[in-house]
Amino acid sequence: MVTQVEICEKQSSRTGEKYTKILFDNGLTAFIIHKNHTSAYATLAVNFGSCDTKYASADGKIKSFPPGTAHFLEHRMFETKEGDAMERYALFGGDANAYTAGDRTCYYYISSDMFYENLRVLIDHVTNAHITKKSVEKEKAVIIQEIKMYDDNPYWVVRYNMMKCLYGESPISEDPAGSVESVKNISREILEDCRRTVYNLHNMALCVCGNIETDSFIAQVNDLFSAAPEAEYWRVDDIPDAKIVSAYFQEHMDVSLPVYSVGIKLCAPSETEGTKEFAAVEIIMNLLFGKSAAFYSENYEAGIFERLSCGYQTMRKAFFAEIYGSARNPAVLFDKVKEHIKKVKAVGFDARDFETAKKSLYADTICEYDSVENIADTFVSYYFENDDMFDYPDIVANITLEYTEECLKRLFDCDNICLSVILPKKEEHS
Amino acid sequence: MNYIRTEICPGVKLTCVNSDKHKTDVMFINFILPLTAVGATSLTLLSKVLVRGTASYPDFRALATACEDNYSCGIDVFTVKKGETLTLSFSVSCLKNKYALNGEDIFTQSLRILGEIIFSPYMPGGCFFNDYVNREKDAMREQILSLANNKPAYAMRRAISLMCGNEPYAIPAYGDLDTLEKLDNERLTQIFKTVTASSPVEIIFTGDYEIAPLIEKINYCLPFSQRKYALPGVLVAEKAAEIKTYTEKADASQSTLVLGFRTGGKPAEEDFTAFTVFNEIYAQSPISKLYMNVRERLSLCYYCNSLSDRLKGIMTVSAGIDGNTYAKAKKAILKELEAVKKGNITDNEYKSAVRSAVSAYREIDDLPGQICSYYFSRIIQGGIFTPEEEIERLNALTVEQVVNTANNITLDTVFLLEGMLE
Repeated sequence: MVTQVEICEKQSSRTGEKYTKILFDNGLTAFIIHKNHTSAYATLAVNFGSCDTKYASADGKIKSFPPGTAHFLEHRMFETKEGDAMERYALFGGDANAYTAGDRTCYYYISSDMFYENLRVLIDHVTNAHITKKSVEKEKAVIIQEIKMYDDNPYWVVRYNMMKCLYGESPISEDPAGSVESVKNISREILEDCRRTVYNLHNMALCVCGNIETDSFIAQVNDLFSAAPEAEYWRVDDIPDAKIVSAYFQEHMDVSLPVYSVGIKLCAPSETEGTKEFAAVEIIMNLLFGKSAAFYSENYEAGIFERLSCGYQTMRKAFFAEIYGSARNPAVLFDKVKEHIKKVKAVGFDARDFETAKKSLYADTICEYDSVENIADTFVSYYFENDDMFDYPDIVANITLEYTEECLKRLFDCDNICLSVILPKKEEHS
Repeated sequence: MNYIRTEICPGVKLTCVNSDKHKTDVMFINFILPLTAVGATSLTLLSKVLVRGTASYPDFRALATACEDNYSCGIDVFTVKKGETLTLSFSVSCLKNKYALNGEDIFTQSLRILGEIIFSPYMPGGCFFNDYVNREKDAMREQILSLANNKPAYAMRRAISLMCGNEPYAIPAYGDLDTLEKLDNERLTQIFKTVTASSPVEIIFTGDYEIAPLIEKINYCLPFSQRKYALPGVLVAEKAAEIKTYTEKADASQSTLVLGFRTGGKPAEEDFTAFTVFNEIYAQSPISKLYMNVRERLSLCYYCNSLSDRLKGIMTVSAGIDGNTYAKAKKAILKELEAVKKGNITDNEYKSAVRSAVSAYREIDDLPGQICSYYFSRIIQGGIFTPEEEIERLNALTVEQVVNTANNITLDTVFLLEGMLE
């Protein structure tokens, strides 16, 4: 039996959205995001993803987990002494699943009925999974098929190759599922050790989103967790080098047209203004390469690319922007990308284009609040980075052209860009 | 979830679901045609050419900027294949006016832009601009060729095409290269004018507007003319004549197995409900027989699931497998179907399947896009029922009805896209 020690509420005057934060004295932090939706979503998120392979204790002991451990563990966390948790969810109409990202593992369900029955199942299997040697061995064949499915996907392969150019052989650029070889070497002992080290309430967050009343939530959740001991090991983040490892990588696959991914390595996000920098980078990428940019229409019209999308990603200490798609000659496009960045760094953005891009991002940010899944998932990813999703619409609404141009000059370096391509097999022999 | 259905003018119908719970207003406009090879190819090309420019926004950049400047209103043009019906569909999704930073009327401006795309495309000299048509033909050719890059999706389309042979359903929604080569700007313009002037139209809207002001806005921005309203029919095979088996080699590390089934003759409404529950038990739910046995017990694959087109009476089951386990995987998938046919359904499996289906219906009104897709599917099927009515039907269903539905299913085609064997 635990009791809550602190409750606080926050409401955004801009969006009207409201959440309640509850700190339990066993170390767990929970959030209720109040929505008037029919369905409710719950995620029990662990601040541990596929990049997090190294942990250290206060007295300097180090534990390292092989690539693919976080993902393998996620697959087996549904096994309990009472049987497969999926069958219990199904009885209560809960649609459950889990995923492993670079920086978190999330177990979740969505339900339109029996919310608390499903919540009990979620908390039980994530905190009391029963992993057997036999099930670990059997799961290897399933995970190997998963890896092979992604290995056949050129868009997936080209992206991880790009990340290898940026970060080298780092867990950041490793496929979250690991490799066929690394998976074969994962044992029940490794999984159990990892779980004991990392799956600690102090390192997790429970985030629910829907029509959920705070008092009954606290009453229901109070007796579901037992008090957790303090963690003994702490995550050691891989600090990427400032410079890229390689500027080019190519591979041949069965594709009709070359597939490319351009990676722009940005320096580690600022500790204090991370979210504001993300907003600036999102606006910068849209202004440089988005569909309303002159670059896009001119080069599309000239046949320089067939498809082009852009975005950015952060993962622990990694921060990069990307441009990806298909093109007849990606090297030509790559040169144009570099030239374009150089040019805009020198002349800056058009003020009206900036206002348009800002309005567009602002609207996208508010529309995020239509889906209970999106809200809860995005909320925990912000929380684990010590940010608050509810602040983002205001940050975007207040961002200035001067700040955005300053970020462009400071973060984008044309010597820190790489190109990864997948070429058709027939070109391999010609 | 209540809706109001009315006719804006003969042949143009509007379904309005009033809801104030979302941040966005969403509208779908569907021009409905029978599925043909020329139709599929030309509508796909049209969907690309139409977003290249309008009379007021004559190039891609001007049009994209107009949308972004209007709070990033999302306007998409695409085609949808349902049964042997094909639609040229337009969707608009925009931030509600109450969130505008400076009091702009985002919804009306979105409809204005959409109205331009549909009724005033960029046509110097009365025809689509030749450069746009040629560039989009190039892009479409590349896209059709690159579809083979995604092996599981390629295997699925190949299986459907082999299974349906000469039936219109074999025609892919995106068309084909031969038809594409024959299309020029004049022919495309002619097809566009015919479709927009004479194909039946279904408009679905969900958002803050009541029906009367909504009709006013539509009439102001979207000048539809009257036309005949008749939905295309569909050929439905009662059962498979014989089992056809095909294997193709692929340069891939994984093999993809697709089994194509006929699900019985043209179904009555209750059969749709029974099929939904059958599909949950057999393939869809997280504890389906395929998941629990083919993946969890036998470790044969990472995914094994089904897709069905109930209008056409077709279901496919696909799995990514190690090519060496082909025979074993096929046997396991069919064994689970036999189990349902024999009525080997536990009480828990049945209850969970019904709950899962009920939840899916209850959750529809949480997402505006889902609301529009749901009502459009029901309209095309020929009978509109609200999610609440579907739930009543689910609760009245019996296990016997589910078993009967399973017994109408026959295996038609087995297709293996064989990757490299170890």
